[in-house]
Amino acid sequence: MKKPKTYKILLAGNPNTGKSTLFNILTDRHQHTGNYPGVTVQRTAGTTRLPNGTRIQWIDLPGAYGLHPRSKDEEPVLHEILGSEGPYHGIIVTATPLHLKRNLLLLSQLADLDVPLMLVITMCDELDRKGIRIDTRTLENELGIPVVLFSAKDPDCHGGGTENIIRRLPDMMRSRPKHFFGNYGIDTRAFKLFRQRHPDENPYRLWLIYTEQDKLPPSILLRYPDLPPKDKEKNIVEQRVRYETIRRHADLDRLVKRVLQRDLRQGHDPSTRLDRLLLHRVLGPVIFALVMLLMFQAVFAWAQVPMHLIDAVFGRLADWLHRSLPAGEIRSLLADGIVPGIGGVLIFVPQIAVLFFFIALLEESGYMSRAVVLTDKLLRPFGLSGKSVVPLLSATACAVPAIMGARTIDDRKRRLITMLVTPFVSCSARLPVYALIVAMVVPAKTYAGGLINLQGLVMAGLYALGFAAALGSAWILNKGMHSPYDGYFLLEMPPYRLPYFRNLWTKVWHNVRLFITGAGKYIMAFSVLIWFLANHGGKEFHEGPPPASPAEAAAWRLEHSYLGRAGKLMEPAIRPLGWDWKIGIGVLTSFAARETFVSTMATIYAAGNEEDASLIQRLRTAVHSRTGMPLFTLASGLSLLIFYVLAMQCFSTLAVLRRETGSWLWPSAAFAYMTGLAYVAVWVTYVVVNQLLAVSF
Amino acid sequence: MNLSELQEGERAVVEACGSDIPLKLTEMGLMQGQTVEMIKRAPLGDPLVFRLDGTTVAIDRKTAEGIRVRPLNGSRKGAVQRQKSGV
Repeated sequence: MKKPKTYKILLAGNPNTGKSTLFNILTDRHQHTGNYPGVTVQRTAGTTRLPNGTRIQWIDLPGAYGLHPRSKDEEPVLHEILGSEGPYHGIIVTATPLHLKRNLLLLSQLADLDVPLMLVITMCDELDRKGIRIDTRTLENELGIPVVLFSAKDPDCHGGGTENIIRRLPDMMRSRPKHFFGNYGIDTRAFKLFRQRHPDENPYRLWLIYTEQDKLPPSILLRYPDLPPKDKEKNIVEQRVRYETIRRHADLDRLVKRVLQRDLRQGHDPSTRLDRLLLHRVLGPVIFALVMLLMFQAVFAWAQVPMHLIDAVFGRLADWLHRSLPAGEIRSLLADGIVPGIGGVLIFVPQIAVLFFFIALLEESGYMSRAVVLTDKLLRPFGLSGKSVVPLLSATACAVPAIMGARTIDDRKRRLITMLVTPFVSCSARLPVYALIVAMVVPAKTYAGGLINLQGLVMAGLYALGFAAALGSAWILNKGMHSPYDGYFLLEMPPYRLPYFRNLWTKVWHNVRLFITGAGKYIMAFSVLIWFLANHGGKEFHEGPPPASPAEAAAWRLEHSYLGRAGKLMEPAIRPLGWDWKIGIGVLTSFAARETFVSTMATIYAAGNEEDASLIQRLRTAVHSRTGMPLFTLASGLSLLIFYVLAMQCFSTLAVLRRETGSWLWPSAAFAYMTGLAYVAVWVTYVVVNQLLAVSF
Repeated sequence: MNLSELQEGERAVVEACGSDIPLKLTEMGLMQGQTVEMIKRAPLGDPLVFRLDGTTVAIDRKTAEGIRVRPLNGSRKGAVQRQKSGV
């Protein structure tokens, strides 16, 4: 057979073994992320081109402890290894010196499948520091596969660069891994029959297909029409799988004792001492609160500098286009549609980058899992897991990556609840809306000598309301969803490590790109759509306004545009809330992305104003189109704010919910529930605030 | 006694695991004869953090209750305290 020019190699390994770090280095930036069919686990692929022209395609499999999946998200590893995504040429398994025995469990299972293998012992810079010696030669002989040392932080130690991995690839292809499973004598009645019917097939492959048949895709099952059902001996099978695991541990224990020498003079594990401090009854929560405070400070204050810069640059650009191009459709499209649209996407990049930098820092340092342990008990009554903290916190940037972040939750019910309530958390897209309306209707009063600011208090209140709505809804969902299987909590807490810069950068870049290509394209497209709807209309619109002053003409044009008509159409529904059709338009357009409310308001009120007033000034002088009273009062402003906290108005969020839950059922339910709740809450707010104001004056 | 009853800093040997403990825990190496050390209870009493075969693992209380252990004598004052209070 002719040698294929592209080799496909899978990377497998336990969580926290530096697998993704190795993947990032091997593939540099040539990565591509997709999804496994049916589930929501990311499948990351990347390529390396060797000097001789050979291409290697690497697949970064999700972290796994073994091949028997025990949650939905662990299934893709088994699927891919059994060939569901097509054939491959070999598997590289990562392991760390400190946890070699446990890391080799997965390798021993793969060895039984007769797959070409290579073992990469990562973090080999830890060997000398921890006084560990590994006899790789003996390990190679015992396993029958190449064993390579690797270090991302110090490629010079023990020759631990990627070139060694590349150099040993031919050895890997030729490797004949030694078997484990055959010695265990594991059998059941049905499995014995199945095995006898396929004498030429690998027995461990058959064992996996038999024991995990309820978790395999049709593409694999169809090849075994004679597969006996395991229902009758379900308990026996479960026992045998556990027995298999225990036997492997025993074998690996003997092996590791032969090849790994440890200097026992090493003192107590420093991570344990740090855990005693960071999980301390009093200090633990205090430190956690400080870390979170720092994160919020960074996202909402430090990111302001680049945000203002982006804002200014795109404002100037639009001005410049207005001045230098001849009036007409093209200028209008560029200066009022496209340029503000691009600016409206990029303005969020600083916040997202800073937030994900912090999340990556927390994950890489090992603190994230401690934060999860600290908060798990608190969140469990709400049907959330300690792991829900990550999505709920990252939702302050954007619900889209946050909902995807819920994948780390093993328990399906908790994961679903987390995903459904995450959109209540105030995301960064709501922030511009909050900022605009708060600045407009809340007086800029300060108390305690300028320390406390009333506008800031209202802002904090909006965030608190979002979190309260999320927790309250989670509590209700938890009561409503009966699940006989109450998920256990099991989390490996990686040792504290100095974060590796490259991984931080990759994570930040990955999420920024996700935002720009994911949510960004909707915002952009919508900006242009809004521009079109506001600048075009039916026949009447094109006949032009009756003779009047320029400002009146502009107002007439807006009212008769497609946008104006849509807003008017929905006015009866929003009149009880104190809003008029212009706000109606703003709320409608927010469905693409909430922050477009601000740009819509800018478009609507730019159309009516020739002078150079700021948006806030223009909005302050706006009057209700029916009553002629000021449009933005405390009552209507607060009602609008509460609407933006509670309502589901984000198409991207619905789309990602659809993808993650596998049907339109949950996104539809979330939309109906959130928007219904918002409408009622807003109406109550408007009526109550108006009554209170009427009493106090 | 079971795993959840260990005092912070106390070590014990696993005697038996309930048949319904997660397979993942077995894969991580929690099995008969293995030594475990209780590191810390979370501030709210649950989950519990253990040292298991060179790894730190957090387990919820209910799961820990399904694992029978024999405390190692003199591994810490916890055992002494328990003897005093007659448990």
